[in-house]
Amino acid sequence: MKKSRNKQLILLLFLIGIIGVFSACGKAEKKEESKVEYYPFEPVTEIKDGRKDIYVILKVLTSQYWQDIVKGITDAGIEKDCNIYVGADVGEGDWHAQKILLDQAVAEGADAIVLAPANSSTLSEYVAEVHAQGMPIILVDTILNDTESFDICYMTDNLQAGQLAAEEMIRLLKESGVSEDESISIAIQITSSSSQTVIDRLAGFNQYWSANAPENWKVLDEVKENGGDLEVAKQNSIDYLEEYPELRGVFGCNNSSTVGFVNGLTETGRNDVILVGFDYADETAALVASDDWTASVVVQNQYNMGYSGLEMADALINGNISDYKFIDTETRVINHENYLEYEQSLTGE
Amino acid sequence: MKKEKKPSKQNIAYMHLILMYVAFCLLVLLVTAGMLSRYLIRNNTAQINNILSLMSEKVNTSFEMMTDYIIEASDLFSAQEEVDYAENYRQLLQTVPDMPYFSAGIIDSDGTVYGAPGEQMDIEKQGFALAVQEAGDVYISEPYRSSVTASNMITILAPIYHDGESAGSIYVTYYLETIQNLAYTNILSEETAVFLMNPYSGNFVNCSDDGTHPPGTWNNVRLIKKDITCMDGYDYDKWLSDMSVGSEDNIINFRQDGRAYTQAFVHIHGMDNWSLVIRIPITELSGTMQQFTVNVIICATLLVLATLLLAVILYRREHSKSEILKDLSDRDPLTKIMNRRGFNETMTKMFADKASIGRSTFMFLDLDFFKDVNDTYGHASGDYVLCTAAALLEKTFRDIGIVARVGGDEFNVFVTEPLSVEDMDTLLAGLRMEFHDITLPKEKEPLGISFSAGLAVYPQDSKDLKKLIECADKALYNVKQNGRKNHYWYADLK
Repeated sequence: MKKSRNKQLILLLFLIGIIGVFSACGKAEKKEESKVEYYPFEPVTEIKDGRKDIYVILKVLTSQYWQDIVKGITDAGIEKDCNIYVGADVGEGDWHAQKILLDQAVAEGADAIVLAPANSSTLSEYVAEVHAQGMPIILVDTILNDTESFDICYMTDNLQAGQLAAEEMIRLLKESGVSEDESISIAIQITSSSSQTVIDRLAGFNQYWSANAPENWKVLDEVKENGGDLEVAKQNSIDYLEEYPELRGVFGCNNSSTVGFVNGLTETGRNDVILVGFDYADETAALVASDDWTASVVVQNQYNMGYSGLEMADALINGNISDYKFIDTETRVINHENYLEYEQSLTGE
Repeated sequence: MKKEKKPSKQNIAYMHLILMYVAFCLLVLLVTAGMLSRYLIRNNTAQINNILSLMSEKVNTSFEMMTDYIIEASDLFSAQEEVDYAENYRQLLQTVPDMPYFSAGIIDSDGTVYGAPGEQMDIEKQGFALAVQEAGDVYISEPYRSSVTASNMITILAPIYHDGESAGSIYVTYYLETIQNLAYTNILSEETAVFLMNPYSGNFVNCSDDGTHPPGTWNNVRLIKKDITCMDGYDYDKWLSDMSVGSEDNIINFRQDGRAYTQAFVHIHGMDNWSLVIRIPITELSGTMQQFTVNVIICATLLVLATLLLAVILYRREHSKSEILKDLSDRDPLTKIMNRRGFNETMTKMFADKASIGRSTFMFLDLDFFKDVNDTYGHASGDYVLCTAAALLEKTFRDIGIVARVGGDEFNVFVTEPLSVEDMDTLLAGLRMEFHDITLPKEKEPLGISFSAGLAVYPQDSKDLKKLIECADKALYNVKQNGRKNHYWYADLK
């Protein structure tokens, strides 16, 4: 009898389970709080009484890219006779840290804030609150999507940058003697499909390519991701070369993808494949300089982002109004023809 | 020994019947749900496609209105004898209809812009003057980030001609969200996503979606294709190819990130290489119908459950009746322990599978001089003694064997646990003391009841049930011959 009762219970539970499956709905959402660490504000200019206090909040301070921005800001700050304080989050993308720095800047009596938003969406609300108090806010590097509550943004138009890369790729292919009738492929590698910067560059590349490349020159449908891992990026590069024998060009949408392609091409010795990428990393620079390879990179003008951003902050404090809200700080192509000139500009020689 | 009643063949058949019924019901339920679901999806897709077609028409008509206005204005300026851009710009601002545009202006033949401050830079950067000249007709720009607003915009331009020569152009700029508003309907307003898509590059620009991506966000089909599974025989590449040639076959159904969508493209006049794409989740319209399906399934399942419950209640009632009948035939009505019939039946079943029996003890037990109790205290008191004795025997042997009343003051016990002679002797000694202490209600002194017992061991004394009983009987007989109040083991008689 006991066993029989158990069986009945199991049967009932089974049927109740079926009802549960049919009527189940709703998903739990999980959130994680990140640990808030940041570089506190430090003066990068001489601090004098009676001068304008401009607070700069960046994403990180350690990389060359961000050091160039700081240099631009510092140069302009000295030129405009301003007190400049620079702080940043520790891990690129930590908007919590930037919110704390925003509050500190306001509390310390900033006359203007220059901000490189760690996140295009989440900071919008806080920036709008600060801007509504009459604080001039100048964005650099990244724009805020959900608000127009800032004064101006200086950044690279990544769509244009992608188009510039495609234009360079077509030029190099033609110069290397690839016929327009020849069926060739171009491979693209990215860090992550969640990075809007990378997506814009990829979209710009495809936009220019579809309008200007010969019909037989195709961009592969497959886009490999490397998540910023150089080893993965290199392996992706080797895989592309093995899987697509007709490959004649590769495009790296960011620094890690470009370096991955550089390492893959040099390891396989495939100097018949043309590289166009982003950023002037040491490995990439060596390939651009080499007579045996054909490689070009698109570089940003991050110094100008910082310089112009600070210059505009000073102008806004003085009561000037800008006709513009978005300024493309532009990009340029560095190739075998002009790399020496570019390197000289970097070293200031 | 744990007494476990095996279900009868009838009961097993009954359970099988119930299980078959449940399985049948579930099968019918699943098939019905599947058919209903397929029907709803098919019907829903057709409805959504109709809505999509109407939306496409609406968007197309709105775009035509936008472009018609600018064409009319350019025709008007082209028809003037003298070209005065500043005056034309003033007229333009006065005549622009009540539309959600951002700005309007004129580009003269030298490329100078009469418009909002700052627009010169965008017009030069985007190459609008050249593009509209090359188009020779109305031209709609790709989405671009405006230097003036920092937002994503599109610009519609139309050329101005004077004396057959190109004399600049008129432009009107719109926020990208405006396009989403063109596709707005009261129903599905939250669920409708609108994109501009270029089938050649695979690029698409978000005008509006469920809030995941801000307007103006660029993306490329190459990055999302891996997440798309086409439905109903559609092919994404073919759909893109259809878009590039402006085919009338403009709808595709697909699944992405676990949701089913239908989307259609609409070619916009003046916007070369770009089409407007409207996407609706298939499930949204059918939400009510799906809820209805779920409710039907729940009701049907509850019905099955209720039927099952009824069957179980009927079964238990039937089972209870048969239990009572069985009790009546197998139980002694006075002492509530097993009677001779029940005992014999159980023993016969047990000995039918001798391999399952280990060392066991069979015992005959008679109360000594029980007739004297009846004669002295009456039959009611005799019944009391019998019941108490039966209860003591049950208590002692319940977990290690079976006990039955087989006659007036006669009891049988079959101990299936392999107890040693010494253990059994100890048990009986305790039992003897408890029998001795049996006291009638309202009496102070115990009756001093004693018993005589004969014991035989299986399989030592006999492996045959009948002979085993005879052995125990012989032992009991010897006890009675020797003054009662004792127990003998058959083995000791030899």
